[in-house]
Amino acid sequence: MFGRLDFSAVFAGPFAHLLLSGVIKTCELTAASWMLAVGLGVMLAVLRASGIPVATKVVAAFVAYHQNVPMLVQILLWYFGVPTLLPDAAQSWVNAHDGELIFASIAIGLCMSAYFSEDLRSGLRSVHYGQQEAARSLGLGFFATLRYVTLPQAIRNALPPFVNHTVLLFKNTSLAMTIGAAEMTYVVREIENETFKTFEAYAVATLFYLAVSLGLMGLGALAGKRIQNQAR
Amino acid sequence: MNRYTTSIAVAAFLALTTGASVANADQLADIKTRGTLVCGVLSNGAPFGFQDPDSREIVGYDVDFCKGVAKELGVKPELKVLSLDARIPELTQGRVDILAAVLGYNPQRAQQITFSDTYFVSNQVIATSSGGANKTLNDMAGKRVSTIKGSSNIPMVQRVLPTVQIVSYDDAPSAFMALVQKKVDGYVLSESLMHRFIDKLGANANTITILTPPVGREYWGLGMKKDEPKLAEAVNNALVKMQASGESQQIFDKWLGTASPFKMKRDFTTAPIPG
Repeated sequence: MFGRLDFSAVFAGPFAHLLLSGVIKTCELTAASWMLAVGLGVMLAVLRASGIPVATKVVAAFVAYHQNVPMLVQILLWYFGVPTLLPDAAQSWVNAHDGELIFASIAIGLCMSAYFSEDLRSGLRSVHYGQQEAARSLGLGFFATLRYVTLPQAIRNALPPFVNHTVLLFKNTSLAMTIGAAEMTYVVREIENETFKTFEAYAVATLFYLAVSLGLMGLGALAGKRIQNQAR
Repeated sequence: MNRYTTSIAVAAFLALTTGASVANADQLADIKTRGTLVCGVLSNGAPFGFQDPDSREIVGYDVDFCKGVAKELGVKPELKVLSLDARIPELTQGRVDILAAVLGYNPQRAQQITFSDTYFVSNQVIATSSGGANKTLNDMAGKRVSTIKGSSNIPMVQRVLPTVQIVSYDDAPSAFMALVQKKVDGYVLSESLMHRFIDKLGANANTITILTPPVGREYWGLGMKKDEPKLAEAVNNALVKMQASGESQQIFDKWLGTASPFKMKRDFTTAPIPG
């Protein structure tokens, strides 16, 4: 059966370069949306922990929207919908600077920030309330308590779901193909269209996603071990 | 195992029946004795074959050509609505005599069926924003052009403009929207569909311009069963007569001409398809 498979066709001629560009675009998308998601996710979690009624309600609404609307819809809304609200100059600037990458990163980043903030919130809730009371009674303020006492413990507890959601974010960058971002899945589909090497093309994509996802999970396990050691 | 024997039996039956119909002299004689020409048409391909909302009848450019050919053959036209995917099997299995169903020529299809002379030529064109720097096709070199994923016009564009950057979307409306929102510099599509999209912009229709020359041409023929030379000759003669009498031009102007939403000009004549 494997005698008929021809992987060389998938890497032949311009396709090797195309695949590489797809890998790079996927990594760019992952990095940009991950940074946005982590930064915003921490801010959201802190806002929610603050206990300010308006802030907690706003964060809850933000999380509800981004967790309950399909990511594909969010990407299409950002790419086709939001630009129509922008002034012309801003539109043409975005279009000239890889608008597909920018809007896909924003959409994926915002969506995953909701998940990250929930991970961190559950981490914070798992820290015993006595820790916070003790810190406050020793004279630490709200932010100092978070920074030195509760957040470090929360992050340790939140690490496993956080790693899972990082892998999810990486995999979901493939949705950006619908708006024409030439990432890995887009490129592989294009190669499949031209060579009709369906199994080989998607096998390459499968191996790529599997390898990177497993790599991310390995890194997460490593980080988890280090944090546990430090805590002792 | 049972399934295999059944399928073999079905295949044998089909081979026998189709073999029998081929042996039945020629199809043209059959059509003449029957008195009807059965045309396979589409009902969802405006303006080529679609249901008229007022009369509920199937009308269109393809339908008029079916009627014109039937008139030249001296028989009555009979329309049979087919689905796009099933049109070629319906023809090869003998359920219709000819196909007038947006059938573009390609060598793979020509191995299965016979194409008549061209009765329509579909230009693949690039549209761009009006008033920009892009005035002719060559100005698009190195620019971003949107397409539909897997579309047959992608290699056409790449042949004419090797430096063009292709951005592919999942469907035609998304690729058009990308052009309207200036996310890309151009959009490549068949001329008639492009006109339909531009027409839908209403008052903003003048913001999009179609560049000349087209990037490629697709030749449409009426489809007939293989090995029916007499029918093919009669259909081609009918098309030549329709061309000479001006009927072909009239049909074009009626459905696609300047008075229609498509505002197209007939830039071809009926001739054998350049294989």
